[in-house]
Amino acid sequence: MGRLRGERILCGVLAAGGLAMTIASFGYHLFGAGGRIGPGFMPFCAGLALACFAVWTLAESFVRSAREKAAGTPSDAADTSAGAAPAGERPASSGSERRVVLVFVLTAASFALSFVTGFLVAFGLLICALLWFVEREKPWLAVGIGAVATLGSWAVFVLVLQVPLPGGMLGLLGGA
Amino acid sequence: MHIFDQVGLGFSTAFTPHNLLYCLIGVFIGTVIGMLPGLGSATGVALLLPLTLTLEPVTALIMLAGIYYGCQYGSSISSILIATPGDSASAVVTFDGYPLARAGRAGQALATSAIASFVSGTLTIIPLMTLAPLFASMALHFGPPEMFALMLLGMASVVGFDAKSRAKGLTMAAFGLALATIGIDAQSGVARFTFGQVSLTGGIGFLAVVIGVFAIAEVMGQVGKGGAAPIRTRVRDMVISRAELRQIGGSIGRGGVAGFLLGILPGAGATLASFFAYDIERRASKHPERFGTGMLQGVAGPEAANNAAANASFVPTLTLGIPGSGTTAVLLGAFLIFGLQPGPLFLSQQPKLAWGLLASFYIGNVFLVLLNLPLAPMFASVLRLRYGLLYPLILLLSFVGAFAIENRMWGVGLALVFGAVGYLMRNTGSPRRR
Repeated sequence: MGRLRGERILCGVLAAGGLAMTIASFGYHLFGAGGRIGPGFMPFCAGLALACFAVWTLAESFVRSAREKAAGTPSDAADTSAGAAPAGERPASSGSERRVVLVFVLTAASFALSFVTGFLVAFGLLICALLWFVEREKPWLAVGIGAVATLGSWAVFVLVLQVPLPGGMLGLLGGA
Repeated sequence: MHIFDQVGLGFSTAFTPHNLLYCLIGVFIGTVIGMLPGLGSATGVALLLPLTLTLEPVTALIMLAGIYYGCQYGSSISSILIATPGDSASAVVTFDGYPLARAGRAGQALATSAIASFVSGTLTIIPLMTLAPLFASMALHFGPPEMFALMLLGMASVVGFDAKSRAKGLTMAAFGLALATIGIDAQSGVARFTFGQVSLTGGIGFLAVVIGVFAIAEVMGQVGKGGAAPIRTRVRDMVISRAELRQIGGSIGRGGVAGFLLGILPGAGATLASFFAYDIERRASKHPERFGTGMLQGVAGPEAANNAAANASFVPTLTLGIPGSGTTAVLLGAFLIFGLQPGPLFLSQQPKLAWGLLASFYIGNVFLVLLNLPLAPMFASVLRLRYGLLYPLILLLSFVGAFAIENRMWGVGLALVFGAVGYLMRNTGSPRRR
């Protein structure tokens, strides 16, 4: 997904969300007794501001794109040079974007799995999967790092810092 | 209370073995986090904040502040050795730091960076300690209109943190404001936008959002990019001559003054200060054409400026409750989580904590120079670790932190969702910090 397209989708979603919030805020009453502001006042202001500024950003992106087209510079290339990535960083390639999506999917799967196997086992498996499938490390290295990270985290967070990490339905490596 | 009594109280608080240990842990972790490309001080503070919740507030804040200024030191190491700044404030150090390293003078560049950071970081605590009470006494006369104006200034400064586009800055500020309205209204007790979910009645947790938007999104942003091979350096390479020290003395002075003055302005931040200091150095030099090819002044000035600005950003944070930078915005959240309200009365109501925190800056800077001068080559070895092996562990730490906020999986889910939102914001150039 190009940066410009992503920016427009984000702005569209935010504008729609802001508008929905503005309309919904009337249900909470903008003003209360004696002219005091009601519980709907702040959501109204925030929603309206969000919708307006998101539309402004959207308009700005279209204007910029039109100007760059007129100047003969492709928008996404111009955006990258304008500093889409923080200083000193290389821009993301489409291959790395696929990897990011895979990392997000695996993380979400681990989150769901944690309710069954417990937090540390699920996220230990995540480390293993990331190293094995995303980073293409050797299986023994991925399993080894995953196991050491799981047991190390259990020792530090559960035993020493006493963070009650959930053991899930199987009750594995959970805290008190 | 006289200022000397306050400073004395601060040092007696900071000099307990417990606080010294956590200060050392903070600056050590900060140095390591600062070196890791893309993480930065705001992420570091956000990542570790949930794990400090069981500590005494003063100890936790000393450790978190240590992470902040530890990052300023650490990020220079990666700027110099792999031309990849750990934090945006050190981006300018790559201009001359990396050419110095390529020319076989990495040790001298690292030593210059550590000395400039130490001198500036230590000396600017004096104006910080004197100006903070002045600011606070002035702010005591504020009434509702001034407080409203202050809130607006706070919002405006948040907009200015990172905005290449003001519209984007304003959109993100409004987005944050909209998120803050979710949950029970403190005035009326009405539950807003909770959709019948009990988890939402308490609102969207600040820390889970911060972990998602900063830590997880940054990690995702780095996935698949790999890294440059770091240049090796040894302790014996870090010796700099007296002539070189004289060369960088003026740069440290100019950078420190410029950094402090800019850092005191809410929203200006260390990044602006470091670029400004670099420009001053170039203009002040007899050989401006050599800048960018490996000048020690090009490292010393910006380094002094970003450390001075980091210290100065605590003036508006502690005395007005307005974050001076992206990281102090996260730290401000930490104060609130500990039940503390920075503002005009903070120094008088919490003298032990406030002055203890300020005094810990001296101690932290001493720890940092002691760690960084002899151990910079050892720290630099972290850079040889492939990011592909590192980020799964950072993700695990982020999720443990998100869980530890309220000891429930809700925080983990929120961090994951806001990680995706933050990644989208990052890739669309929407401001999140600085």
